[in-house]
Amino acid sequence: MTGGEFQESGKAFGGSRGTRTRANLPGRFRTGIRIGRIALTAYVLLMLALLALPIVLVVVASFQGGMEVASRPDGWSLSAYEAIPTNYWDALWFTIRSAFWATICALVLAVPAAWGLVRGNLRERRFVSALVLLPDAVPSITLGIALLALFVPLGLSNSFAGITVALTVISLAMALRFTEALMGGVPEELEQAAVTMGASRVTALTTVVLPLLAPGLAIAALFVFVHNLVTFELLLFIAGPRATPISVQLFSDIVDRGVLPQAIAMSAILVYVGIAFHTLVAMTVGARYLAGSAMARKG
Amino acid sequence: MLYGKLGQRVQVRHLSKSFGKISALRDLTFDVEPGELVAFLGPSGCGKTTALKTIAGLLPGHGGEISFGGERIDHLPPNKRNIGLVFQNYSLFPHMTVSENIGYGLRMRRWPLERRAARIREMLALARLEGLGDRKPGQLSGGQQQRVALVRAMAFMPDLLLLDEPLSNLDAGLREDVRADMRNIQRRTRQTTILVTHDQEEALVMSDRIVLMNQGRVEQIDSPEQLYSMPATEFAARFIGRGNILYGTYLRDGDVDAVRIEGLDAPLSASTKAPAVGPAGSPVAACIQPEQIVVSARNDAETLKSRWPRAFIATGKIVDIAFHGGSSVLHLDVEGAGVLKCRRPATEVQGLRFGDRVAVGILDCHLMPQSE
Ligand SMILES: Nc1ncnc2c1ncn2[C@@H]1O[C@H](COP(=O)(O)OP(=O)(O)OP(=O)(O)O)[C@@H](O)[C@H]1O
Ligand SMILES: [Mg+2]
Repeated sequence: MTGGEFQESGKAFGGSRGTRTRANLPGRFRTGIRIGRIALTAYVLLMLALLALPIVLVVVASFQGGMEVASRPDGWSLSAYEAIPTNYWDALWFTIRSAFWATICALVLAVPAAWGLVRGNLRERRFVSALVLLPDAVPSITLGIALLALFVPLGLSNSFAGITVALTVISLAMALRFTEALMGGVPEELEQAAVTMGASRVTALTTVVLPLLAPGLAIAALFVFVHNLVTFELLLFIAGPRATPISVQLFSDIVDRGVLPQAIAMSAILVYVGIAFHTLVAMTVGARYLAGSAMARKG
Repeated sequence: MLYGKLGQRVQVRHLSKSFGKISALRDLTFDVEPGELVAFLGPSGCGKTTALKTIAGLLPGHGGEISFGGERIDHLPPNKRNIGLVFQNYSLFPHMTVSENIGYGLRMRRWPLERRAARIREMLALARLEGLGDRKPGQLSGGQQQRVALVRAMAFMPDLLLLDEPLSNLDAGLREDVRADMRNIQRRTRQTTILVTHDQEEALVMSDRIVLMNQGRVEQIDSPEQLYSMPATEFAARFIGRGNILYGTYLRDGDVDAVRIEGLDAPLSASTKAPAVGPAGSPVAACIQPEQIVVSARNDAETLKSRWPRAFIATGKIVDIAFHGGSSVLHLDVEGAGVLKCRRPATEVQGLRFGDRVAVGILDCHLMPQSE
């Protein structure tokens, strides 16, 4: 978890390079570098704009009651939020509950599995680790169809349990990758020390490894939860009137009736929830961990 | 019972362990007496850590027997063996305070709270860490962390304490202090201990006996004095590393041992020899301690001859001279023998300069079988 330091050192490097070049390089070259820096800054700003613009657009539109942003610069109001129907709120609450339980299940399953993979020195480890990436390589829609075929005979489609199981399965991949990376960061010797002092392997896991993993697991839970909250393709087929995640609800309404203000408002609420969770974690365990886990996830 | 109970004799018999095709331990057999500190000494990769981990039960799948007080323990899992282990990097639990770290083994053994607290206080005092019990390990200096690790592994009164290179993470300056501390703690508690090190000096200074290892085998088990003055093999002599080593042929004249060195016109007398030296005529390695070489300041052999009648006398040249407190270390290029290291009291070699020609006397040597 060295993402934070990484960034800082990167900054320091950039800064010192800047001063050094200004001090001792001939004029023309210096101008070249200045232009390069401006171009780089512009490039970064453009990237940020591309990333943030759609989100900003949705949020702005939610206060203006429609997607035609420029046409009505005056009409800021909460009317779109007030127009959100109860079935949206139900769908949101449904999604939060099932995303929550799926996150818990995925992590509860992932921790022992990661422990086995990392500590067990299994020869199959690389195979399993690769297998875990499979859901990323296969289109979610394909998995959704497969789940439908599987769930209908089991009576799990169109139910809270079915949606939660589906989300658990898909988030297991993410959770396992997180926990594997986290577990790899806890020296095995700490566990061995605990064991020589009389702890069983399970006690060593719960008294030494888990407390050390806890901050990392909180981050993992955040990412998995937010990911679950917005999962769509996977749930499209197994959702139904008795089990409607908010993403599917919005999709079907927009298909049926077009982009209504209340749909935009609900999308904006999803944005707020995501931002709120990121802020929460950043405040409780520190922004350093946020950057660190993002690195771990890539790695 | 001040600090703990007096332990039991530890017996290790024919211990072997391989990793695939590499056999890391071969037929390791030794005893540790109650209260004794035994050092495992050997070059990197000779299997010291493997031996410790095997004894601790962290590496299953080994051959041989381990027993405490005559009772086999090698079938037990590591948490049932009652062995304390200190890792090279201490492996303190970063999320627990010093007191919680020390109390961990007691908690696992379900000691009652008051007894636990008393023991933790006792251990903090032993490690001179009073008042630091509420700190986290990250807030301690390297030496303090090392002492926490040490008393954490001793707190639950293990039958055997294992230390894997406990000083290698400390800077040279600190190392001597901590070494003295550790030795002191071990002596006071009479804790039966095995210390792993690749530092000869550490082993010589700290231990009651040394198990010298080479490629997974025991090369020699002896007291530090014995190992130093009478290495059993050329490997041992080289590893302990103070003597000059010359090759020659073993001579036996009545009761007197000697060695004929190629290039020297007379034999060197040898007062000691390792048991494994073959019959007269076999090739041997002769170890000459630096203290067993004398020089004469005025390039006359007569003074040397009258003072040390049995010495072998040759001529040589000083190629290096260095003052080390009470003694001086000279490197002498001796005719026929090459460069030899000599250590004399500083007063005895006063006035000698780099490049001087001198008379050199070799008083004694120790004979060992040559290593292939
Ligand atoms: N887990 C392992 N898998 C394969 N080989 C191993 C393993 N652990 C140790 N070895 C090998 O066993 C031999 C002994 O290793 P060991 O770590 O015991 O040496 P050591 O004496 O402790 O060395 P050092 O002084 O460098 O710590 C080495 O050749 C090493 O490469
Ligand atoms: Mg080692």
